[in-house]
Amino acid sequence: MHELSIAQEILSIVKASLPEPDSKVTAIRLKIGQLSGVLVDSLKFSFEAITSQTEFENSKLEVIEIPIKIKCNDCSKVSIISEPIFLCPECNSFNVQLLEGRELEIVEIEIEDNKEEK
Amino acid sequence: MSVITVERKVLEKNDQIAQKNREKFKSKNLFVMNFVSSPGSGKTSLIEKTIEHSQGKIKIAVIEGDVQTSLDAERVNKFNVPVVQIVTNGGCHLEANLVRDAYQNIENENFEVLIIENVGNLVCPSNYDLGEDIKVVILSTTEGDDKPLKYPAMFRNASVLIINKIDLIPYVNCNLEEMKKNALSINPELKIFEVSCKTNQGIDEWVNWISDRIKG
Repeated sequence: MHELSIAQEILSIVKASLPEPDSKVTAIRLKIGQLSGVLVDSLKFSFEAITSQTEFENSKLEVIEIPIKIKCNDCSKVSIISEPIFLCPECNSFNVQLLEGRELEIVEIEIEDNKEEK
Repeated sequence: MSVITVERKVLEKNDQIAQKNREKFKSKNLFVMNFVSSPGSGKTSLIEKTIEHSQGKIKIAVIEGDVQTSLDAERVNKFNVPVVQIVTNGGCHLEANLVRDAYQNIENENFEVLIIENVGNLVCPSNYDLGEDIKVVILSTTEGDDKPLKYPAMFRNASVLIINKIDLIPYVNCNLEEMKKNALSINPELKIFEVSCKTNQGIDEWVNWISDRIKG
Protein backbone atom coordinates (compact mmCIF):
# COMPACT_ATOMS: atom_id res chain seq x y z
CA MET A 1 0.00 0.00 0.00
CA HIS A 2 2.90 2.37 0.62
CA GLU A 3 4.52 1.55 -2.74
CA LEU A 4 3.06 4.71 -4.23
CA SER A 5 4.85 6.96 -1.77
CA ILE A 6 8.03 4.93 -2.28
CA ALA A 7 7.69 5.42 -6.05
CA GLN A 8 7.42 9.17 -5.44
CA GLU A 9 10.56 9.16 -3.28
CA ILE A 10 12.42 7.26 -5.99
CA LEU A 11 11.37 9.77 -8.62
CA SER A 12 12.46 12.73 -6.52
CA ILE A 13 15.88 11.19 -5.79
CA VAL A 14 16.33 10.35 -9.47
CA LYS A 15 15.43 13.90 -10.50
CA ALA A 16 17.95 15.28 -8.02
CA SER A 17 20.67 12.97 -9.36
CA LEU A 18 20.43 13.93 -13.02
CA PRO A 19 23.47 15.63 -14.55
CA GLU A 20 21.18 17.82 -16.68
CA PRO A 21 17.56 18.54 -15.83
CA ASP A 22 16.49 17.18 -19.22
CA SER A 23 18.62 14.01 -19.19
CA LYS A 24 16.62 11.08 -20.48
CA VAL A 25 16.55 8.26 -17.97
CA THR A 26 16.27 4.82 -19.52
CA ALA A 27 16.64 2.70 -16.40
CA ILE A 28 16.67 3.00 -12.62
CA ARG A 29 18.35 0.16 -10.79
CA LEU A 30 17.11 -0.62 -7.30
CA LYS A 31 18.13 -3.02 -4.57
CA ILE A 32 15.10 -4.36 -2.74
CA GLY A 33 15.52 -6.75 0.14
CA GLN A 34 13.11 -9.58 0.80
CA LEU A 35 12.41 -8.08 4.23
CA SER A 36 11.90 -4.53 3.01
CA GLY A 37 8.13 -4.87 2.96
CA VAL A 38 7.95 -3.67 -0.63
CA LEU A 39 6.00 -5.55 -3.25
CA VAL A 40 8.01 -5.21 -6.45
CA ASP A 41 5.07 -5.54 -8.87
CA SER A 42 3.11 -2.98 -6.95
CA LEU A 43 6.08 -0.61 -6.91
CA LYS A 44 6.52 -0.95 -10.68
CA PHE A 45 2.82 -0.34 -11.20
CA SER A 46 2.92 2.76 -8.99
CA PHE A 47 5.99 4.07 -10.75
CA GLU A 48 4.36 3.62 -14.15
CA ALA A 49 1.27 5.38 -12.90
CA ILE A 50 3.09 8.48 -11.66
CA THR A 51 5.43 8.74 -14.67
CA SER A 52 2.84 8.13 -17.37
CA GLN A 53 2.91 10.95 -19.95
CA THR A 54 5.93 12.56 -18.33
CA GLU A 55 9.59 12.66 -19.36
CA PHE A 56 10.09 9.53 -17.23
CA GLU A 57 7.51 7.53 -19.14
CA ASN A 58 10.18 5.30 -20.67
CA SER A 59 12.32 4.96 -17.56
CA LYS A 60 12.31 1.34 -16.48
CA LEU A 61 12.61 0.20 -12.88
CA GLU A 62 15.07 -2.67 -12.72
CA VAL A 63 14.99 -4.47 -9.42
CA ILE A 64 17.77 -6.53 -7.92
CA GLU A 65 16.06 -8.61 -5.26
CA ILE A 66 18.22 -9.25 -2.20
CA PRO A 67 17.60 -12.46 -0.25
CA ILE A 68 17.77 -12.65 3.52
CA LYS A 69 21.37 -13.28 4.57
CA ILE A 70 22.18 -14.04 8.18
CA LYS A 71 25.32 -14.67 10.17
CA CYS A 72 25.27 -17.01 13.13
CA ASN A 73 26.81 -15.51 16.26
CA ASP A 74 27.55 -18.98 17.62
CA CYS A 75 29.13 -20.84 14.71
CA SER A 76 29.93 -17.80 12.49
CA LYS A 77 28.37 -19.45 9.45
CA VAL A 78 26.84 -17.06 6.89
CA SER A 79 23.67 -18.40 5.26
CA ILE A 80 20.95 -17.32 2.92
CA ILE A 81 17.55 -18.30 4.23
CA SER A 82 14.38 -18.57 2.18
CA GLU A 83 11.90 -18.27 5.04
CA PRO A 84 12.21 -15.40 7.48
CA ILE A 85 12.78 -17.73 10.41
CA PHE A 86 16.00 -16.51 11.90
CA LEU A 87 17.54 -19.87 12.57
CA CYS A 88 21.07 -20.87 11.63
CA PRO A 89 20.72 -23.84 9.22
CA GLU A 90 24.14 -25.06 10.32
CA CYS A 91 23.81 -25.27 14.10
CA ASN A 92 20.11 -24.43 14.73
CA SER A 93 20.94 -21.38 16.82
CA PHE A 94 18.54 -18.43 16.93
CA ASN A 95 21.42 -16.17 17.88
CA VAL A 96 21.88 -14.72 14.40
CA GLN A 97 22.37 -11.28 12.95
CA LEU A 98 20.79 -10.00 9.80
CA LEU A 99 23.39 -9.05 7.20
CA GLU A 100 21.19 -8.38 4.19
CA GLY A 101 17.54 -8.33 3.26
CA ARG A 102 16.25 -4.94 4.42
CA GLU A 103 17.62 -2.95 1.46
CA LEU A 104 15.55 -0.31 -0.26
CA GLU A 105 18.09 1.63 -2.28
CA ILE A 106 18.65 3.27 -5.60
CA VAL A 107 21.91 1.86 -6.91
CA GLU A 108 22.31 3.67 -10.22
CA ILE A 109 20.49 5.25 -13.10
CA GLU A 110 21.12 4.85 -16.77
CA ILE A 111 20.74 7.84 -19.04
CA GLU A 112 20.79 8.31 -22.78
CA ASP A 113 23.81 10.17 -24.07
CA ASN A 114 23.10 13.52 -25.60
CA LYS A 115 24.06 12.72 -29.17
CA GLU A 116 22.46 15.58 -30.97
CA GLU A 117 22.41 18.96 -29.38
CA LYS A 118 19.08 20.65 -29.40
CA MET B 1 24.31 5.23 -22.66
CA SER B 2 25.93 6.27 -19.43
CA VAL B 3 25.43 5.10 -15.92
CA ILE B 4 25.27 7.37 -12.90
CA THR B 5 25.96 5.88 -9.52
CA VAL B 6 23.38 6.99 -6.99
CA GLU B 7 23.72 4.65 -3.97
CA ARG B 8 21.02 6.31 -1.92
CA LYS B 9 18.40 4.91 0.38
CA VAL B 10 14.93 5.49 -0.98
CA LEU B 11 13.61 6.56 2.41
CA GLU B 12 16.63 8.67 3.36
CA LYS B 13 14.53 11.81 3.74
CA ASN B 14 12.31 10.11 6.30
CA ASP B 15 15.35 8.61 8.05
CA GLN B 16 16.99 12.04 8.36
CA ILE B 17 13.91 13.61 9.92
CA ALA B 18 13.54 10.59 12.22
CA GLN B 19 17.11 11.07 13.37
CA LYS B 20 16.38 14.73 14.16
CA ASN B 21 13.28 13.66 16.09
CA ARG B 22 15.37 11.15 18.02
CA GLU B 23 17.92 13.80 18.99
CA LYS B 24 15.16 16.13 20.11
CA PHE B 25 13.46 13.41 22.19
CA LYS B 26 16.78 12.51 23.73
CA SER B 27 17.52 16.10 24.68
CA LYS B 28 14.18 16.16 26.50
CA ASN B 29 14.90 12.83 28.22
CA LEU B 30 11.84 11.23 26.68
CA PHE B 31 11.26 7.49 26.36
CA VAL B 32 9.43 7.12 23.04
CA MET B 33 7.47 4.06 21.98
CA ASN B 34 5.95 3.40 18.56
CA PHE B 35 2.87 1.16 18.95
CA VAL B 36 2.26 -0.97 15.87
CA SER B 37 -0.30 -3.69 15.19
CA SER B 38 -3.09 -4.71 12.87
CA PRO B 39 -6.41 -2.85 13.26
CA GLY B 40 -8.43 -3.91 16.28
CA SER B 41 -5.71 -5.58 18.32
CA GLY B 42 -6.19 -3.08 21.14
CA LYS B 43 -3.55 -0.37 20.71
CA THR B 44 -5.78 2.41 22.01
CA SER B 45 -7.13 0.22 24.83
CA LEU B 46 -3.58 -0.57 25.85
CA ILE B 47 -2.74 3.15 25.87
CA GLU B 48 -5.78 3.83 28.04
CA LYS B 49 -4.82 1.07 30.47
CA THR B 50 -1.18 2.14 30.52
CA ILE B 51 -2.16 5.71 31.44
CA GLU B 52 -4.72 4.54 33.98
CA HIS B 53 -2.30 2.20 35.75
CA SER B 54 0.63 4.60 35.71
CA GLN B 55 -1.12 7.60 37.18
CA GLY B 56 1.06 9.23 39.78
CA LYS B 57 4.04 7.18 38.56
CA ILE B 58 4.70 8.05 34.93
CA LYS B 59 3.76 11.16 32.96
CA ILE B 60 2.63 10.10 29.51
CA ALA B 61 1.78 11.97 26.30
CA VAL B 62 0.23 10.42 23.21
CA ILE B 63 0.38 11.01 19.47
CA GLU B 64 -2.51 9.22 17.77
CA GLY B 65 -2.29 8.19 14.13
CA ASP B 66 -5.40 7.22 12.23
CA VAL B 67 -6.56 7.15 8.66
CA GLN B 68 -9.70 9.06 9.59
CA THR B 69 -11.42 10.60 12.65
CA SER B 70 -10.12 11.86 15.96
CA LEU B 71 -12.04 9.21 17.92
CA ASP B 72 -8.88 7.75 19.46
CA ALA B 73 -7.59 11.12 20.61
CA GLU B 74 -10.97 11.76 22.21
CA ARG B 75 -10.69 8.47 24.11
CA VAL B 76 -7.21 9.35 25.38
CA ASN B 77 -8.20 12.93 26.12
CA LYS B 78 -10.45 11.74 28.97
CA PHE B 79 -7.32 11.00 30.99
CA ASN B 80 -6.12 14.60 30.90
CA VAL B 81 -2.81 13.83 29.26
CA PRO B 82 -1.26 15.74 26.35
CA VAL B 83 -2.60 14.20 23.14
CA VAL B 84 -2.39 15.10 19.44
CA GLN B 85 -4.26 13.41 16.62
CA ILE B 86 -2.66 12.87 13.23
CA VAL B 87 -5.15 12.04 10.46
CA THR B 88 -3.31 10.51 7.51
CA ASN B 89 -6.27 10.81 5.11
CA GLY B 90 -5.73 7.40 3.59
CA GLY B 91 -2.01 7.08 4.33
CA CYS B 92 -1.29 3.58 5.65
CA HIS B 93 1.51 4.53 8.06
CA LEU B 94 2.97 7.46 9.98
CA GLU B 95 6.07 9.20 8.68
CA ALA B 96 8.73 11.05 10.65
CA ASN B 97 7.67 14.51 9.44
CA LEU B 98 4.10 13.96 10.67
CA VAL B 99 5.42 13.03 14.10
CA ARG B 100 7.77 16.03 14.10
CA ASP B 101 4.87 18.39 13.37
CA ALA B 102 2.52 16.74 15.87
CA TYR B 103 5.15 16.84 18.60
CA GLN B 104 5.41 20.63 18.27
CA ASN B 105 1.90 20.88 19.69
CA ILE B 106 2.85 19.17 22.97
CA GLU B 107 6.52 20.06 23.19
CA ASN B 108 6.09 22.34 26.17
CA GLU B 109 3.91 20.00 28.20
CA ASN B 110 5.34 18.06 31.10
CA PHE B 111 5.83 14.34 30.30
CA GLU B 112 8.53 11.70 30.23
CA VAL B 113 7.03 8.97 28.05
CA LEU B 114 5.68 9.55 24.56
CA ILE B 115 3.50 6.87 22.99
CA ILE B 116 2.99 7.13 19.24
CA GLU B 117 0.06 5.03 18.08
CA ASN B 118 0.74 4.13 14.47
CA VAL B 119 -1.91 3.38 11.87
CA GLY B 120 -3.25 -0.17 12.26
CA ASN B 121 -1.15 -2.05 9.72
CA LEU B 122 1.55 -4.68 10.14
CA VAL B 123 3.35 -3.98 6.86
CA CYS B 124 4.20 -0.39 5.96
CA PRO B 125 4.97 1.10 9.41
CA SER B 126 7.97 -1.23 9.72
CA ASN B 127 9.77 0.75 6.99
CA TYR B 128 9.34 4.19 8.49
CA ASP B 129 11.52 5.19 11.40
CA LEU B 130 9.80 7.89 13.44
CA GLY B 131 12.66 8.57 15.84
CA GLU B 132 11.29 6.28 18.55
CA ASP B 133 13.38 4.37 21.08
CA ILE B 134 11.49 1.14 20.59
CA LYS B 135 8.70 -0.38 18.57
CA VAL B 136 6.07 -2.22 20.57
CA VAL B 137 4.04 -4.69 18.52
CA ILE B 138 0.63 -5.59 19.85
CA LEU B 139 -0.93 -8.87 18.81
CA SER B 140 -4.25 -10.14 20.08
CA THR B 141 -5.16 -13.76 20.64
CA THR B 142 -8.06 -13.48 18.16
CA GLU B 143 -5.63 -12.87 15.31
CA GLY B 144 -4.11 -16.35 15.37
CA ASP B 145 -0.76 -17.69 16.48
CA ASP B 146 0.86 -17.59 13.03
CA LYS B 147 0.83 -13.77 12.65
CA PRO B 148 4.54 -13.30 13.49
CA LEU B 149 5.51 -15.64 10.63
CA LYS B 150 3.30 -13.73 8.20
CA TYR B 151 4.68 -10.29 9.08
CA PRO B 152 8.31 -11.01 9.97
CA ALA B 153 9.71 -7.53 9.28
CA MET B 154 7.52 -5.97 11.92
CA PHE B 155 8.30 -8.57 14.57
CA ARG B 156 12.00 -8.50 13.74
CA ASN B 157 12.16 -4.72 14.27
CA ALA B 158 10.16 -4.59 17.49
CA SER B 159 11.65 -4.80 20.99
CA VAL B 160 8.47 -5.67 22.85
CA LEU B 161 5.54 -7.93 22.01
CA ILE B 162 2.30 -7.40 23.89
CA ILE B 163 -0.11 -10.30 23.55
CA ASN B 164 -3.48 -8.73 24.24
CA LYS B 165 -6.94 -10.26 24.88
CA ILE B 166 -5.31 -13.04 26.86
CA ASP B 167 -8.66 -13.55 28.63
CA LEU B 168 -10.12 -14.86 25.36
CA ILE B 169 -7.72 -17.79 25.11
CA PRO B 170 -10.37 -20.37 26.19
CA TYR B 171 -12.70 -19.22 23.41
CA VAL B 172 -10.42 -18.75 20.42
CA ASN B 173 -8.35 -20.99 18.26
CA CYS B 174 -4.99 -19.65 19.40
CA ASN B 175 -2.15 -21.65 20.87
CA LEU B 176 -0.35 -19.19 23.12
CA GLU B 177 2.86 -21.21 23.33
CA GLU B 178 2.93 -21.54 19.54
CA MET B 179 2.38 -17.77 19.16
CA LYS B 180 5.31 -17.01 21.46
CA LYS B 181 7.49 -19.62 19.76
CA ASN B 182 6.74 -18.13 16.34
CA ALA B 183 7.48 -14.61 17.55
CA LEU B 184 10.77 -15.65 19.14
CA SER B 185 11.82 -17.51 16.00
CA ILE B 186 11.64 -14.19 14.16
CA ASN B 187 13.18 -12.21 17.00
CA PRO B 188 14.66 -14.04 20.01
CA GLU B 189 15.25 -10.73 21.82
CA LEU B 190 11.54 -9.84 22.05
CA LYS B 191 10.35 -9.03 25.54
CA ILE B 192 6.85 -10.53 25.79
CA PHE B 193 3.96 -9.40 27.99
CA GLU B 194 0.65 -11.22 28.19
CA VAL B 195 -2.13 -8.79 29.00
CA SER B 196 -5.85 -8.26 28.96
CA CYS B 197 -7.16 -4.73 28.67
CA LYS B 198 -10.51 -6.14 29.76
CA THR B 199 -9.50 -7.84 33.02
CA ASN B 200 -6.27 -5.80 33.62
CA GLN B 201 -4.21 -8.98 33.73
CA GLY B 202 -0.53 -8.19 33.14
CA ILE B 203 -1.01 -4.42 32.86
CA ASP B 204 0.86 -3.57 36.07
CA GLU B 205 3.81 -5.70 35.04
CA TRP B 206 3.96 -3.81 31.72
CA VAL B 207 3.68 -0.42 33.44
CA ASN B 208 6.46 -1.38 35.85
CA TRP B 209 8.65 -2.31 32.92
CA ILE B 210 8.14 1.16 31.38
CA SER B 211 8.81 2.73 34.75
CA ASP B 212 12.15 0.87 34.98
CA ARG B 213 13.10 2.10 31.49
CA ILE B 214 12.71 5.76 32.41
CA LYS B 215 14.55 5.40 35.69
CA GLY B 216 17.45 3.70 33.92
